[in-house]
Amino acid sequence: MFVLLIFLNFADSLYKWGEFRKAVLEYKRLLFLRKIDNSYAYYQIAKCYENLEEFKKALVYYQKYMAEKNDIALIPKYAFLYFLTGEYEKAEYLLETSPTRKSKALLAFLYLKEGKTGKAERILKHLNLEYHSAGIWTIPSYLIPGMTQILHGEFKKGILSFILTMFSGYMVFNEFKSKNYLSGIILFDVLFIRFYTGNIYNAKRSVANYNLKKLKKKYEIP
Amino acid sequence: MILLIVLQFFEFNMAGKVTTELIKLYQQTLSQAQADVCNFEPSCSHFAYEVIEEYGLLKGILLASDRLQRCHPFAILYSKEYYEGTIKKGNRLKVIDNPQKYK
Amino acid sequence: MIFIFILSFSLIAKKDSVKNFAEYLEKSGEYEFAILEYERYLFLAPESRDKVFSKIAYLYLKTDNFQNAFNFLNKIKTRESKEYKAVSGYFFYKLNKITLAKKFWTFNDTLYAYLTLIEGNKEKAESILNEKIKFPHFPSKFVATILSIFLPGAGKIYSGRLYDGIYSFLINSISIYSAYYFYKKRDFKRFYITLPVALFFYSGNVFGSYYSAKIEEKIKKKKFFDMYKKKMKIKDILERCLSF
Repeated sequence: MFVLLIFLNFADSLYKWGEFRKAVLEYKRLLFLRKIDNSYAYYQIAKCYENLEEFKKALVYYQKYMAEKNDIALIPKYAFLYFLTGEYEKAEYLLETSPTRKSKALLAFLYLKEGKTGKAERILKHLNLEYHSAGIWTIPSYLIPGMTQILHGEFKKGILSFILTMFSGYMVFNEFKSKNYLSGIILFDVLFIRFYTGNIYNAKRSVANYNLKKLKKKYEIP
Repeated sequence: MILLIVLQFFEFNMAGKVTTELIKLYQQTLSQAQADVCNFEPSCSHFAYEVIEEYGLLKGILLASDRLQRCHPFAILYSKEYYEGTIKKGNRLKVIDNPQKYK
Repeated sequence: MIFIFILSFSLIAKKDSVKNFAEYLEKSGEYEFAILEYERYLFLAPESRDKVFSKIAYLYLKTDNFQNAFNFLNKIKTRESKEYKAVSGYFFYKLNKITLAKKFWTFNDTLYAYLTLIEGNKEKAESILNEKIKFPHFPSKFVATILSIFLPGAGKIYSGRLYDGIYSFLINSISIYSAYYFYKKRDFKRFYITLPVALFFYSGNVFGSYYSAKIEEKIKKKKFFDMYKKKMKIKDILERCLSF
């Protein structure tokens, strides 16, 4: 019993001093010797891996912990780890089933990052958060390339988008005017379409970034 | 032939560095104005930058040209066989194509 | 205070429990932790030093840490032992130096046969497995290159990459045709822009065809040899040699 307490104290001390890898080894030793409550060890190991930024391993141990203790308060962190490891569907599933406002905010954050603006906007409306609708705010960029980006504070991107789209458009127009149809078609496909669609894509991104900033500020999302 | 010899001579020197700087300039300017079009991870410009730095200008340019000719939506069909799997970025699934493989 | 804790663990901890935990970590694939635990075991059981060094070197090789593996191999005193030969052979096998690996794996027929199979000689492996072995067919790099010189994209289709070949063909046809069109039209301003682009894609196509045949060969070889590595139970043999 005394030995067990020493081992446990040692493991906890290693964690406190930031020696996370060594702490993991000691918690695993205690698990192997079956001398510790599993859920406590799983949770500690998961926290160590999280601090070491080994998110996949942290997830494995959070899953083991959640299987023993269904800790609802842990869901946002757990879901965020799924997001960091690229498992978006699992993150979304967890957050959709969680009732808390923080979970909903995190879900909106994930949707915005993934480009699912429609779903994100429905949640933002439900959270009564002031947001910009992608459908409405990208219209200026359809008419004047780069406008949406400029209106959302991304001046460099907006001006660059405007210059490149207009310049490539001018080149295409020039080629067709000189009856160089082949080079006109090539320039249209390779340059103009690329920059125009890029402008629309960046317009949607700038609206999403604006909404993300608001969300991060209000709900303290990392 | 003379051009090739000259290119080889400059492999580790100026021409390679100039090319990588041009790629960086492209990434900071023209690339910013485009959508996320690349089907691979790392993107073709990042790939070109890394192979030119690692393998020299001549081999780097050839690999970059080959990469551009492999960058199409059907590349995902070869993700398990010829590449290192896939990764999700945003709402797109991209194929992982490691530059280290081309030693 | 901490050093007292560490010392007390070392004294109190039983040798067997440390060894069992190390083996458990090794089986779970946690090689880094297994190495730390085997080092602790070494402290408790110095009489097994050569066996433990071999084990640690083997685990470093599993994590591709060749420098540390080499350092531990050098610490082993009994160079005629089975463990030393097993790990040394594995070291050279991992570095793809098959001839050197063969010198160490002569003590076991199956290990030796596997290496001769890699070198292209299937007789020994066939006699051990009691079955006929057929080497896979690889696309020829030379043929792929030549095909792509005459028809852009053909080399890639030959190597098995249909869509890559088609896409390459389309890009090359458009760029080469554009250059040709402007040359024919005597529009040299546009010709001198499209020509380098066409050359860029054409040379990339030829080089890419060579490379896709090379990579296809590498992939097929790896699959083939990994299949026989499993069939001949190479991993089990090595782990039996290193068990203590």
